[in-house]
Amino acid sequence: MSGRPPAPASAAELRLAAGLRAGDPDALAALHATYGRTVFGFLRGALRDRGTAEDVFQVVFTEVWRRGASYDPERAGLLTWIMTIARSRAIDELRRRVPEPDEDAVAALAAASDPGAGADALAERWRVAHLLTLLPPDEAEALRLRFYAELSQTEIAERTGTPLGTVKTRMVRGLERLRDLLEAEDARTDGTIARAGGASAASHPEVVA
Amino acid sequence: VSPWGVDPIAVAAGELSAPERAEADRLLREDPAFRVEVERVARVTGALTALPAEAWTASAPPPPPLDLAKALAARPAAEEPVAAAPASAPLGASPEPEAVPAHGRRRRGAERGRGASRTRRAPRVLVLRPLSAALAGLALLAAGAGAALVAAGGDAAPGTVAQEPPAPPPARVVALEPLAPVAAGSERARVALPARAGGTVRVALDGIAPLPRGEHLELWLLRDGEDMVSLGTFRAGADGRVRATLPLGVDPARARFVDVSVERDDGDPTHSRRSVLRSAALS
Repeated sequence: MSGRPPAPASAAELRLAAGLRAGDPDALAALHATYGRTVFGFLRGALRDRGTAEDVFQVVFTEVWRRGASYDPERAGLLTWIMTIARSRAIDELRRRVPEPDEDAVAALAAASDPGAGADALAERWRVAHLLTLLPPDEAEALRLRFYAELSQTEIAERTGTPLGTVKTRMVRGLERLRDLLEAEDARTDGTIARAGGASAASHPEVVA
Repeated sequence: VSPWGVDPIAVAAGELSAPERAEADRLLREDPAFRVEVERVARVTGALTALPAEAWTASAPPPPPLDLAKALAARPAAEEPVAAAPASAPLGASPEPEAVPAHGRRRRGAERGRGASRTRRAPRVLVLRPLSAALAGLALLAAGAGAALVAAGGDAAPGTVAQEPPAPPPARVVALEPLAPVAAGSERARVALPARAGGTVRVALDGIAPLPRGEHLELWLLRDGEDMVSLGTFRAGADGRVRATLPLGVDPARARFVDVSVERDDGDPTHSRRSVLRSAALS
């Protein structure tokens, strides 16, 4: 936690939140277009079954819509709020897998004694993945080449024909921007993805089933 | 500007020269503030390092389309006017209880979605009864159609790079006129049609005559003789009003007409050829 004052929501986010609170179906469609890929990516990774992920995906967005009237943009970013619901529904689904639960998937999500810790880590990765889409393209590409293609900064410079100093600058700025975006989300949520029953959940009770 | 000789972000990024590395090691040991700054960025680099491959590439599967009807069943849409609608008689957005989107269910010529179990009737010719001389004699084949229209639409996946969430697509209001002979006339009929796929279509009809038991109304987008797609079905209330909100999963820019037909409750997904309302040619 950064301890910084909450960051204001963007105008676009406020517009979506207002539509959601007002019950405008277009807002739900816009949320789907904006966050659908991130939520679905998280669910596919968490549940390891596309069909199940599709079913839970529908449940998540139905819940987003159903709870939309109580969503407060001052207390949680839309991304964090939606990912919290997705995380809860993914854990519900994994716990329902009886009598033959997918032990690998459960283990992946339920690290040690905290069944939500694995989900938290996965959800945070997908939150970062979503925030990556908000970066200027040249910075996002520098990070992709570094962390996905695993190229060194020198190799990136050679491959792209960009001066090494520019590559370094883009990478530093991209990381800095990502860090700030993530911390801005956290500042409004008072923590990372809310754990069921935890303090963060209590501060925003509608995000936890 | 970093107050240290080594930028904490560069440390977290992991590529330092030997002298920089030595200085970073010293600062990490001796300067708690420096350590905090490195940890702030390390959280991001850790997430990036562990990011699934599909999160980096545009080849990641798109999310499934949204079943708006299911969501609306959990929380009805709010009452609100349709943008740009004429001032009289507000177009409500509260969906009729009977309104059923056609998503994955009654698209002509498209693959039918999961759960579709209705049998299909043999293709039939749909003749567009003219609104004007320009439409006279125009016929549409009701077979295998809709594929192009549907294929061109679908729920849009988000772009790989987006600065802000997209605003809801603007809607334009399309007036529908009764066709003769009509099984269901309408005093006023309007459809608010978004500019692109992914939004919702709002239907507002007034003065609809009661339909016999076992019949309902269905909204279509027509493109040409090879192409039409159902957007959903609905019934009028006892007061002759229809207020329906239906998801739009296809690209409306490719449609030439908006059409309302009377359909029997027989499970047949094809157009009945009993059109009762239709727009003028869309520009």
